[in-house]
Amino acid sequence: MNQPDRVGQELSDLRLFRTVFYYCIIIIALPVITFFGSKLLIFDSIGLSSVSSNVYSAVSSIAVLHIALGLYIYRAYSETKPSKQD
Amino acid sequence: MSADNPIYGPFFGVMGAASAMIFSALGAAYGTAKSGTGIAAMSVMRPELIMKSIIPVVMAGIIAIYGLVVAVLIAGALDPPAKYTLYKGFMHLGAGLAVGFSGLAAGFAIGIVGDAGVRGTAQQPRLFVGMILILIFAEVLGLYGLIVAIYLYTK
Repeated sequence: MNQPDRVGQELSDLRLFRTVFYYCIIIIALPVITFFGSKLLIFDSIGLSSVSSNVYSAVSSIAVLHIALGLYIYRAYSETKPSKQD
Repeated sequence: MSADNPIYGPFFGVMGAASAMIFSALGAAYGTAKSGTGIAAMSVMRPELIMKSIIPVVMAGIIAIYGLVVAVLIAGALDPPAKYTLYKGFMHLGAGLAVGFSGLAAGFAIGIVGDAGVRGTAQQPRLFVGMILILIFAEVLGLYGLIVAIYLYTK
């Protein structure tokens, strides 16, 4: 293994780590932000009752969570396709 | 304290919120650990597949988010016994147990499927689509528990 090869691998490791870290932050933080954000900003302010505003914000946070998961799976599926070389 | 609002009424709601979080976290922890051993064994030979093989871990984490959502919903609806009927307490206990045990089951399934699927994907990359499908069906078990829990919560 010569020097440029190792540098290239470290660069791609950094890029991979950044991608995975970015998606993990999104998947962990986005549902919580969506739950409380949509509850306080949207559903509570349009005059719904407490129970229904809670339920709508819970449903929207779960929907956002699955969209983020789907994006991650799509990214992972299309990411490692061309890396056939070993 | 009437018969409908006993002093121990909120106990059931509190236990519902706690069991929603406890059992789904138990399932998610098992799923993460079991599929994590598979990833660790697989990545030694095929480190370029890391991003694909993290998917079971992410899905196990989502199980815990289901439990978190229901626990937050129930905890937000808790009240002192004078305003909290025993019926509501039972509903909240049922909601918490529904999402908790469904999450436990789904986490176990995700762990076992993730372990075997990740090891298999290293040998045969076309297994990836099958692994994702099986993981989605395991994940949906937890989602069913979440749907029933939210339905019970709105009663």
